Amino acid sequence: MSSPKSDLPQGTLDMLILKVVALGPIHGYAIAQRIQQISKDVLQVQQGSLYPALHRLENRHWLSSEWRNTDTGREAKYYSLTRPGRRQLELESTSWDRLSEAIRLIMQTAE
Amino acid sequence: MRWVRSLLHRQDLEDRLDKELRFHFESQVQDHIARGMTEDTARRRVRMEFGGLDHIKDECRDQRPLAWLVDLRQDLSVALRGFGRSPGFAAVCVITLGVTIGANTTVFSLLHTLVLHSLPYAEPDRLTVLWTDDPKHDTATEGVSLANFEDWRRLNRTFDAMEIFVRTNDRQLTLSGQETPERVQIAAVSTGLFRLLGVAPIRGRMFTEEEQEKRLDVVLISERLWTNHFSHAGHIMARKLELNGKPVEIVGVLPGEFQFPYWNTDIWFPYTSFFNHNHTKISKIPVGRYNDWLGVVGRLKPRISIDQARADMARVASILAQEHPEAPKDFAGFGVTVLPIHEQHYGSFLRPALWILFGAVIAVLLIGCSNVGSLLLARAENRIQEFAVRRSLGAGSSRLIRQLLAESALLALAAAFIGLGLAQIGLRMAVQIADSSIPRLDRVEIHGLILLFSLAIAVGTALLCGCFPAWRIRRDSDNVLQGRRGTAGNKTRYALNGLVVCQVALAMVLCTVAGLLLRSFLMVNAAPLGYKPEQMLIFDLVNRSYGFASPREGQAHGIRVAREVIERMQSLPGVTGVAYASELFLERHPDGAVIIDGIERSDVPFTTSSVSRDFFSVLGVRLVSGRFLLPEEELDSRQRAAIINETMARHFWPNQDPVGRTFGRENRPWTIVGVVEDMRLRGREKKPVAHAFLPAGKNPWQPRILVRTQKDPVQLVAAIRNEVRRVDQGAVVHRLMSVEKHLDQMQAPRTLQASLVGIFSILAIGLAVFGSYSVLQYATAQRAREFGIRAAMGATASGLMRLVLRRGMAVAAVGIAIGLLASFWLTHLLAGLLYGVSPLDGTTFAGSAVLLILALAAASLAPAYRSSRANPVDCLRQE
Repeated sequence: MSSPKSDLPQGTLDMLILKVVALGPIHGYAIAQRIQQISKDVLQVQQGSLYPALHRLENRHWLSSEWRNTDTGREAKYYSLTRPGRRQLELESTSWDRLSEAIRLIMQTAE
Repeated sequence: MRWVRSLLHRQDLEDRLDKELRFHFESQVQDHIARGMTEDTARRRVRMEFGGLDHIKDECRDQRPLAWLVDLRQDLSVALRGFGRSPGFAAVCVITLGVTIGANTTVFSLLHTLVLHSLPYAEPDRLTVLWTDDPKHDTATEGVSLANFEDWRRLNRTFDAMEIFVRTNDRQLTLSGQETPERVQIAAVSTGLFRLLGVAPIRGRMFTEEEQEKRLDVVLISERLWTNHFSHAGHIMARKLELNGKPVEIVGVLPGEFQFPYWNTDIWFPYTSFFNHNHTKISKIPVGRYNDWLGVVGRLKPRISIDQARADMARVASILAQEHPEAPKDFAGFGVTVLPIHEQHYGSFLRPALWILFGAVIAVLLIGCSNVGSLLLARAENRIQEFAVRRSLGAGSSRLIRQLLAESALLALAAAFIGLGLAQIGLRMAVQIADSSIPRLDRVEIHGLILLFSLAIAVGTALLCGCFPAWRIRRDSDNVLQGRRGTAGNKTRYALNGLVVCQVALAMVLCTVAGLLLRSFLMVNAAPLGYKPEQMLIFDLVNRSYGFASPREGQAHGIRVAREVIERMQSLPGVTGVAYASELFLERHPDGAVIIDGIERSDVPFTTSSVSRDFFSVLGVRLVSGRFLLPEEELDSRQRAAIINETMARHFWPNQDPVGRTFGRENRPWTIVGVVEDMRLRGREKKPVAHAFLPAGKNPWQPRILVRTQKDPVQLVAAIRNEVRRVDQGAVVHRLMSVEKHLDQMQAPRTLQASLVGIFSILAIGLAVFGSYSVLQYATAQRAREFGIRAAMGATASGLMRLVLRRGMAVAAVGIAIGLLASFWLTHLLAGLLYGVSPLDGTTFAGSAVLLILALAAASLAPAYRSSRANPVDCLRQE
């Protein structure tokens, strides 16, 4: 499995987590899986960054959590997006769009 | 609410965190198994992917609200456990810092009360006291005449306001009209003075300009007098007091901390009314230009320095000198002395004395801090290994620093606690030593800000030195882990040696200063008094001067009372002798020409007092030549026989026998029958002045009585008071105390200073010795392997010992040399405080150096001995 890994720019992980959680209640392991799948294995979130980020977002009241059973009957901590969390996600995705567009423009002219 | 939960339900949170992460772990394992791995391989693999589980948990915990508080608790408990493992280290740090903080807080509190913030006036920095400068009579604080004062006020350009008080250094009146009459200190001031100082009465009002103009008998009284005599009466208005049998009206009460112009003043008159109470007749106010009976208080204009004011007053003086060239021969001149107001209050000794204390205590603080610093550094060096391991196990460096901070804070807090206790004890001690003879000392209290200041310095030191290992780890954790002791170890050693040098140098300076002060103290105490002060009481018998038809009748009554009191004293059990004298503690030289052997001389006048015949035998004064007074000479002053002291003999009749010679003023001369040893009656430090003892005759009036007792004189105090009351209800026993106490009170500031600086220097030496010991101990422990190898190569025990000793003494020698140089440079600042010792006194310098060398050599012995026992096998095995 020598998939090329990319490091996430600072602060982007929070946005990605918010985005993934926005799709519906989800536990930590699934979030990591989802990010990896969607990014076609480019982005691999390490546990060491994922969980501190989750706890940080929860403490900022952008995520809420509850314990529920999974399909396999195990108890897991499910995160879901709160209203302020949704607002934050919108904020971050707009600014991300602007930023990536700007970077794209620069990279194109440079070529 | 979440933060509350995070504090209260920590265990709960921990469990959930664990559960969450484990779920992730298990899910991942399951996934791997689903892709065809065996369970064992899957687990191993996931464990690798996870990295440190504890590390992840730690980072999650850091995200919690108030995580730092939880960490703090953890850090503190770890620190406590650490100290528990090395209680000696902790105890030494805490005690060193505690003592340092205690000493600092004590002295700063003294300084704060007595110097910096002492005076209860508005903007005391702008207040000055002005006197006439009188070089002719060798005093810079001669009184001011009313005419001159008015001209000063008119001509000056640097003062906002000037007011006056009557110069009455020790003026008392009898508070009569009560069961036991007492003497109260009085003062007389102009009405504007209170306004100038910024003081308002706590009850009633000030006196008015009109009352001052009309010379009415109105007074302001002290809070003390008010609470002792009138507080139960409630209302102040129109209360009457009886002073010397005359009624006066109280118009107001001044706040307790207000004591101007003299300490313990109880009653303030308008200055115009002062002469209403001068003896029995009302006399005129002296308005002449050459009647110097006033003191002047001036408030400087804002931003005017005292030097500018001095220059301004010099200008005023030259104008006045031109305007009045006709001044009499004896007149002091127009020179003006401008003093900051605190000098009026504390004299010129106390303040510099306190600043010396300040210097001493700063030195102790520096020594103490560097001591703790070197302890922490040495410990840190030893802990680098431990920290390297902790870091490699995943502890972040911020976490390590926090841990060290917690340790330092814990030390500092414990130290602050001890320091506060010590400061309380220290202040109580200071009050006791000074024994009410230093004004305001009883008001000293620990100042919170000062405590904080000392604490801040202590914490700062602890932090600076305590965080050293964290900084080291950042730089070269790899080296440390691989067991290499790089150059950083040497750097620590240099830093430690530097600290020891500083400590020794400071201790050296302090030791010299203390030595000089101690020698002065001893010199003062060893100064020959010329009499035996032990087992002797002294008091003023103040007779009633009011309620008689004529002053003559009052005087006759007073003499009768005095005679009877003296007789009764003599028959009191336990009394072995009674003598009396007038003006025994006279401070001023009487004016007027001096006639010696019939020739008028203008040099050094002499002071006189009238004494009873047994005065010399009761005091135990030695006769140098001639004889004492004969009974008939005592009783009949027409025989004009007198006794002089050695200083007078030396001055007027150098290398001659003065017996049979004469001296006097304008009137008939006195013939000298004997010369006695010089007596220091005005305190141990005051140099004896030329003095003549004249016979008191058989009519003592307002005498100062000396009672020689068999045993402890204090036991007789009550009996004496009783006897006097039995003779005359109206007579007052004033200032009754033992002569020794009287002498002690006069040198209380010196005693206080010598004992405090002495204690500090002992402290400093102790700390320096300890610091040098612990550093040497550390250094030899570091070199244990080297010593082992040396021993293996054939070094003898004594050779190894010499090696260590030489090292310890080299550091000590550098410190002592620096300290000696600093002392040479600094001690001249002490000159004004020393007595009979030169600031560069060789004995003191050498003695201090030898003392320190011995102490430091002793401190080197234990590490040296230990290193001499180095066992090559043990040392090598340790590696």
